[in-house]
Amino acid sequence: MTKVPSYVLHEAFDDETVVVNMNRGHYFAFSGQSADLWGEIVRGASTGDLSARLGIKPPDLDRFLSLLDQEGLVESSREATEQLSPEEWLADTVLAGSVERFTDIEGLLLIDPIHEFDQNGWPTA
Amino acid sequence: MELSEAETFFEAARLAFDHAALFGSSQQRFMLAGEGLNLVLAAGHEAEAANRYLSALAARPAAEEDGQAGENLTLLLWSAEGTGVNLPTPDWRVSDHTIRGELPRFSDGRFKTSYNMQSRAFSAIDLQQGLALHCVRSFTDLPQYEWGAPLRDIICWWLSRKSVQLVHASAVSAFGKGALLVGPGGSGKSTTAAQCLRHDTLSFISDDYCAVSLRNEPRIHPLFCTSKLCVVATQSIPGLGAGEFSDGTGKILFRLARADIADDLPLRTILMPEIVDAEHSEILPAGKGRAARRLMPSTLFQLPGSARSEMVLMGDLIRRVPAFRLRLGRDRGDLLTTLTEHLKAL
Repeated sequence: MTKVPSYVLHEAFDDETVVVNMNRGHYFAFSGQSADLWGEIVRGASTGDLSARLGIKPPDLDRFLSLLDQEGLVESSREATEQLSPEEWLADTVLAGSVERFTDIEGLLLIDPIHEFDQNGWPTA
Repeated sequence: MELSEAETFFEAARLAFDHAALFGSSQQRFMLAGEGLNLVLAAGHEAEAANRYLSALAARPAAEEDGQAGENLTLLLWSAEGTGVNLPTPDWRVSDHTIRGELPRFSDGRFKTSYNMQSRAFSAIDLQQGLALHCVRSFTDLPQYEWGAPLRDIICWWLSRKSVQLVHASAVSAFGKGALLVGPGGSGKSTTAAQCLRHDTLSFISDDYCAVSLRNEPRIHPLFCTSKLCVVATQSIPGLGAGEFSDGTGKILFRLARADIADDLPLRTILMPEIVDAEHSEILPAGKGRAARRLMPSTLFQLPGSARSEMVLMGDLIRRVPAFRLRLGRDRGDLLTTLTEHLKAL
């Protein structure tokens, strides 16, 4: 079973599902079959069942799961593969164009702030 | 009974405030977003700067009938520089901070704690007692974003207990109906809101942050009397006065009179501004997912709270209020007419 980590937040709407990775500051819009797949994963569906249930070919499903893994949207034991954009991962699959990634707010994150300490022991950036 | 880490530090910080207040304090009672706030300030020689900092709150003086005992928040605020009284030395590591400055080890269902390393501002609240603490190293050293939206963490925590969500959005109104303006920096939120200042029909409610309550019908509440605008945008807005700060992003902070800001109103529309290469403005229906992308991530990363419950509240908001694209043309007069007609028709 593929599990969604606690730092990944998601909310489904009629037209798309918004998925936010709070650790990386990236967020995603899943539409069409990608939104359906994500909904099944959130509900704990076995990845073995997904292909038949949603009518998605196993190689296409595998590329979708690799994308989720690369983006830290699921916990998985897959080995790290090459870094590709959503468009590259899903090119030539039935899921092409159904995942958008947005990185415009990652600058808000202080992943490793440079800091010092004042005389009272309080950190300052 | 053994105190939790959160309660132990809260009590130590409260004692530090008591010490700071020995040298003098002042009290104010006012209403903000429908909630009573008793503010006790110990700022020493920084009193003038402190009062200027607090004047950015879109508050109004509390009347006798406002609020009931036990429902008000008491906020103890002090300047370490002004009073010479520092916070107790923290026993947490830099890595204990979340990206939003929260300290999970010092936060639980009752207490919330945060420390902003840039502004060197400490905030904590005891939700059970209705008591909050806010200590800044020095008011005069605070960055622009603190002057534009003071006490943000504490206001966010206090309002969230009643399903009132702070959001990263501007807001305007007309005909007693409010519009939320959502989108990334540079999309035209602030400029659109500022264009509504002192307009015959439209009103300014907020720039950057406001509160939305979802208890019954969704309502917008103003929180801050400020507007941050780029220099070019200010040229088309009369009567703004002199700006105060530039934070290196090219935006200048303007203080607004409370009388120029509308009170809380029903929220009837979510608008997503986008600057287009066209003369005229237009408003077109938009999907809920697009509205969610414009509102949720930037709010989640800028404001404290339980991200999961915030996401649920904002999802509820988006499902209940129609969303539209606001295509901003070059003709500012036409924009105001378009906004007025949109709000009138709702």
